[in-house]
Amino acid sequence: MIAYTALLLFIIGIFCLMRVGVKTDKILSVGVFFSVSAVFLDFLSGLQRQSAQVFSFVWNSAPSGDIKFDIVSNYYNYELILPFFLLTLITIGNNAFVRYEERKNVYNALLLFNVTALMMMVTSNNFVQLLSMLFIVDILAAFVGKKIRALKEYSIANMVADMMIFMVLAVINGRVDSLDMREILNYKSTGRYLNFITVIGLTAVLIKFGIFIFQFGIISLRRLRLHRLQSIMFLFSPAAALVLLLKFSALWSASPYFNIYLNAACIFTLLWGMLGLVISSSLRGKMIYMQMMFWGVFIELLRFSGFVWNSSFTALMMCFYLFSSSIYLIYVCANREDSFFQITKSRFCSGLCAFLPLLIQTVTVAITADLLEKIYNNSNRYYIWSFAVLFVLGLSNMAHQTYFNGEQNTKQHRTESHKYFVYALLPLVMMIYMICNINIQSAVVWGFTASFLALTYVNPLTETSRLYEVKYLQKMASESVAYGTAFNNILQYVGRLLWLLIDWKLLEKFIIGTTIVMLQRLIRIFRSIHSVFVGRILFAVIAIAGILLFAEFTGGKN
Amino acid sequence: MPDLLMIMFLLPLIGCLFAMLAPKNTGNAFNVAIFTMSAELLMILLLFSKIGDDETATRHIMQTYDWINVLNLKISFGINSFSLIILLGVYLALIIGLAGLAEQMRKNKSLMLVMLYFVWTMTGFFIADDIVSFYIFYAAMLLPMFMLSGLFGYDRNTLPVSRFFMYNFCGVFCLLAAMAFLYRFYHGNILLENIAFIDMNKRIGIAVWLMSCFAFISRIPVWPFHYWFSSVNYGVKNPLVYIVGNMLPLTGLYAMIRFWPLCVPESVELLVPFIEILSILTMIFIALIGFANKEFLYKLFSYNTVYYMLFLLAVILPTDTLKMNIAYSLFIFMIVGASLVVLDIKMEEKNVGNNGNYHGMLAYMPKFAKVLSFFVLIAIGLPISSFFWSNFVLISALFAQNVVIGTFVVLAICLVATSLINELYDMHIQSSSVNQYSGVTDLSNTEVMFWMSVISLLLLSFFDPMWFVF
Amino acid sequence: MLENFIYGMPWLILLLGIFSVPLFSYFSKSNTLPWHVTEFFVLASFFFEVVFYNKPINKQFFAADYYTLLFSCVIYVCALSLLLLARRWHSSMSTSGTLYCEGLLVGILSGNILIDVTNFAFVPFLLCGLMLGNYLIFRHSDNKKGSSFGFVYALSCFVCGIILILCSVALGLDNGSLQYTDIEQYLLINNSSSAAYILVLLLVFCFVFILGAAPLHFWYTETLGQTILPVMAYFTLFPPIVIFSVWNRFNMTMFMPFHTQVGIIYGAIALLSMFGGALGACSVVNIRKIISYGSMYHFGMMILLMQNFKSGDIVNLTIYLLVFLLATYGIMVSLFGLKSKGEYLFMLNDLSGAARKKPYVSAMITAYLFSLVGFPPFLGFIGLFNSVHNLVINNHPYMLFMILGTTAVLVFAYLQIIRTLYFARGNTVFDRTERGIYAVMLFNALLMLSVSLKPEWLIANIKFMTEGTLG
Repeated sequence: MIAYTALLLFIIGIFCLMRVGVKTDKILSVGVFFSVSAVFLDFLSGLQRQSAQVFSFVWNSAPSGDIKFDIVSNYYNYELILPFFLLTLITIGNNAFVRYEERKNVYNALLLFNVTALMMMVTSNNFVQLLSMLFIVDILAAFVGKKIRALKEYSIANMVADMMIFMVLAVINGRVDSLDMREILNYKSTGRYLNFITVIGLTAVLIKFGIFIFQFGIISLRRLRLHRLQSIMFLFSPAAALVLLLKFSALWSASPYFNIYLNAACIFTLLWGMLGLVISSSLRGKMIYMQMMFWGVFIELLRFSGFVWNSSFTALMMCFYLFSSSIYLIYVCANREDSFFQITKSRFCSGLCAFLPLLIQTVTVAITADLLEKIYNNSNRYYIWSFAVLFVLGLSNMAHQTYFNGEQNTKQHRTESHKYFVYALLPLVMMIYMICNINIQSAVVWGFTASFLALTYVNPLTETSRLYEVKYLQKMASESVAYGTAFNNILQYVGRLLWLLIDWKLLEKFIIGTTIVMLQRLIRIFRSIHSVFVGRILFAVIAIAGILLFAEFTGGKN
Repeated sequence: MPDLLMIMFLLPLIGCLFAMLAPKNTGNAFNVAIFTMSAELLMILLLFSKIGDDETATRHIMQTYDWINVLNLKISFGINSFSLIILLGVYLALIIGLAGLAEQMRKNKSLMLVMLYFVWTMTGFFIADDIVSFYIFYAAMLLPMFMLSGLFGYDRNTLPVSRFFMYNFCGVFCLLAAMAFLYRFYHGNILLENIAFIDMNKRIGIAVWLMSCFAFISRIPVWPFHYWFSSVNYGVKNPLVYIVGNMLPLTGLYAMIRFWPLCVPESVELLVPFIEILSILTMIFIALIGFANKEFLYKLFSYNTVYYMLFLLAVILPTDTLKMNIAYSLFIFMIVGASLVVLDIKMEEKNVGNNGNYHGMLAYMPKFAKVLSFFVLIAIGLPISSFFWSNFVLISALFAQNVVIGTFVVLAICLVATSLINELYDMHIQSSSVNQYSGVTDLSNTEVMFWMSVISLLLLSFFDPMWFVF
Repeated sequence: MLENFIYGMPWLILLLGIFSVPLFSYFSKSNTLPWHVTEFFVLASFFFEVVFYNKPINKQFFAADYYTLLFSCVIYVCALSLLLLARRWHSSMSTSGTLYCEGLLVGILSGNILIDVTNFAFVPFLLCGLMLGNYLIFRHSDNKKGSSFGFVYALSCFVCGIILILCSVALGLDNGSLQYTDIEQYLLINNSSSAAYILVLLLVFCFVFILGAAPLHFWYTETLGQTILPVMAYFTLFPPIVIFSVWNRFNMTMFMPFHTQVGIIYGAIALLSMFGGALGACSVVNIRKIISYGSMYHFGMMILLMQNFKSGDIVNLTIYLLVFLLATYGIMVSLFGLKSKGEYLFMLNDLSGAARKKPYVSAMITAYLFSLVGFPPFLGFIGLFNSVHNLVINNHPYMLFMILGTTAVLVFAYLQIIRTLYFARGNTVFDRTERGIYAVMLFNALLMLSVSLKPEWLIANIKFMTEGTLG
């Protein structure tokens, strides 16, 4: 039962928050890994049972009905939770055995809380539960990030996206007068503004994925440590966005704008991702752009399959996680050097360290090809082909620059190579499992793998390495997209302008100022009349005459 | 139960007496204030235990006092869960304000005296059931507010406070005139619940409702009157003063809730679009100005204004089922607003000599940073307190009524939230220049304990906003 | 005859006081003796007034009912309170107050008779008597300050007196009887006569002049700011009691036939006084002038309450008047408590930051000022509420906006005082406030507080004593 799994993970998470010494922390983190593995195995057994169970209690009441806390355990939810749980387990494993974090268990706790929240999101039947968990995932992401400067734009982007989802749910709730998620389909028949909520909701989801043109949040994460960046990009806001997309696709797809908007965003993302991957000289940048490409393809593939989750998508996610792990390995091999330009100058072509990334990349390509072949059909063929070509080109370019450029450097990595092996253990296990499931006889798989290796050696995009020296391009690729800042600036200017024109000029200077000046003038006139005795007498005479005349004209006779 | 109500009503006055008798320049008056406020909290909890968490809008009238028989003027006091929970929020906010006072201010007898007088007027206002007593306390609270702002709020010119007072006086006078009309048509004092049923001709009805609405809206920083509030709130050095100033809109809103009839008369219907347009304009306008302003205090003002507008829009919705949600939201809103102000002013106190720029300061105060971050997260409506889902219910109701209004409301909320988050991050991000905060002291353990208890209170509200009712 | 003599005891005692005070003053070197003598005569007169409250000296010319009792009592209490303050002022200055006592006694006597009188033949002389009392008090101030306001005032009074006497003679010759009721009948018949209208106007403006309301405030506001404190207290408190009591009676009798035109004139005078008072209060930095202008505003408010010529309005007016008297007296007492190096302070600058050194005095001033503008929970709220309610009942809603505008300006002026007392920083060294002043302040505050808690006591009694007694 998912409720049971979630509870166990939450308890382990709480346990992880205990303050202990560094050595104990290390030992405990291994214990945590094994505990979570045990829970995972239990979860897998639940997956195989395929029986639906619901855990539910009334949390609070609202005018639109009870706010319920539901955990629905059915096969679909198990399937959907599986990749998140698995990736969390791998990350916890890496954290336990490789030098990821100083305080390993705090990081573990955040990951566990996050996966619990994702589970709650997946299994929710209630708007408030869904929203709460969505926000919690983002809060946890902010804690995982740790490096405040990097998180600012990402957090703001996510918060804006969350508010958009908040708005969409509020509109639906306002119309159907129910907090039940199952009622959203009724909105199609009763509710107006379907296009509005589709565009808003989809924009929010795209922001959370970091898809073109909303990538500024994700790009701002470039300052994070690589493993944190990797976790955030797979397990936090994009994961939450994925759940949202799957939950709301049934409603949104009724809008004609949905497909157009999503398709356009994914295609541009793919192109932009490819461009960024080639241009960016930062390893983190490359990882981010690679991820952009991945989510672009992934969403598009989901669309082709009618937003129904299946094990192929889990496999694809795993595949890309492994690929991003290969980038992490390159990073470690290069003595944690972020500049890819520097990496190209120093070659890593011997030893376990250098072997692992290439192996992972090659196998990843093979697995991806296999998955693409499975998903391939007439309607998506152009998209899949173009993705495949771009993917192989981009990867081979990166692999070539890593292995065939610069001087050989063998000093640093040998001393730490055993750690890399430990690091690669879990991905390798996963790879072996997937290799067993690959259609070995497929020409597409072999063709792709061979093309990748050939292109890695030849590299038709050799000249692109010159782009690493173009400062302007690098700045563009690595910093937040200009419009993120521009939007912020525009709002600030508008705010200042409003303050200046309305608050200061209109209210303070004109209205209040004029009133005060008028009052002051009146007082001055009054003062000048009353300062001399004759003035006072004159005032009396004139006023009496005025009063009498006024009475005469307005009063009439009795 | 009536005795409890009267004790609650009179306690601040007794506190005033004790504070007056306390010796100068000692903490005695402060202790009296804290003790009085704690006793008030206890009274509220006792009252809650008597009426239970009855979430209906029915008021339990408990005390009637023949004030002027010849004018058929009876004063009635009563209470319900709705008023009690807001009053509880007010008391807690004031206690937070008291706790946030600087050591020197705690020894100020006059401050405590005026504060307790303010508490008395607020208590009277929330338990008033008839129009005369309601008016009396509605107007009476202006004096302590004026004295607090003028005496303890600023180091500079106090002219804005006078202007602010005059502006509020106009509102109060309008309510007096409206009251006189109602008095004329009812031939005596009238319970607030019955106002909607008074038979007035259309012109008089419009006039009365216009005057009442102006009276209440004058307390809420609606554009273009927001200027008075911002000028008073801007640059306040004393957290208690800011909190008191921030309670004035609450009184306007509460008055609106009490006056606004369930079945809106024809004369009132005319006002609804104007109030809606003004509220939306104000929200967007203030949110943008807050976004552009560099002062955290101004950002807080903008945040408060936007939320007050949201509540105002919720109040004028033609439904009675949202009242408790408004109360839950207001309860959290008061506490969070007070906490943020106290923390901000504390930060300014620690940052003397740095030209008001405290960017990066939180990096040197980890405990402070955690507490402040937590309150900011609650303030922007993340699911940590009942503020989150109460607001969700309110905004849903707005969307059900009018999608355009709902969209603008979310936009404004989004703007102020972004503004606060932005500022919070700036406070965290260490500047690359010379480290000017290395000597800054973090929160003491006692302070951390205090803030943790406030945070626990808010956290528990997430699970049940009335968790303290047994 | 003996009976009438006994009923006339209050006036006779006052008359005796008028003659004996100069004698005591002449033969005694003590500065305090004239005060004690005056207090004795006033108290004795008060005693007889209360005892024989329903016994007129002559039923044809004088009335004796609850209305006269109420206003006579107010006059006596006010006079005694003024004497209490003035004695303290003079004893602290070590100067003689014979002229002040004399003026006060003349004022009490004239005022008392004016309240009772029902025949117009006495009115010009009694008003002249009241003005004489006022003049004597002005002279007293001139002697102390070396100014010459008394002369201006005397000249104005002389003109006023002559006009009144001429009117009285003309009216007597034309009508035969000068009883109020007879004049009412006469005016009712001749209500289109310009002469009759002019007579009414003359009387109205005469009242306005004695009160110091606009537009005939030329002698009042500016002058009072420069007089000594007891004189200012007298002019702010005493004449309004007399004038409004008489004016009410005239409204219910003689002025009734012209109520439409006169009502409009009242409205105009009221608004002018309120605007003038509020603006004037804002334009000065002398606390006494601010209070005087403020009083002018309140006179305007009271005149506004009379414009409907309804007997019920007298209750509202009386309530407003009493609240005004209590609050203004409270301010006067508080001003007595603000002294520096033997001098009573009156410029706002000198009072900067007074609240730090004189917290109780400042608090009292604040409370009374707020009471004057009708702010709850202070007593003034009752007065303002009654006034506003009165305007609503009598269908003058537009007047509400006038009141709002003027009151807002006046509030600003009062806030100026409070800001100076509390928010400004100053280095004035204040003298120790006498315990007597604190005692009076406390008593006044308790009185205000008790009435605020149970206004029933005040309103019911006033209603009982005034409603229906004048017609």
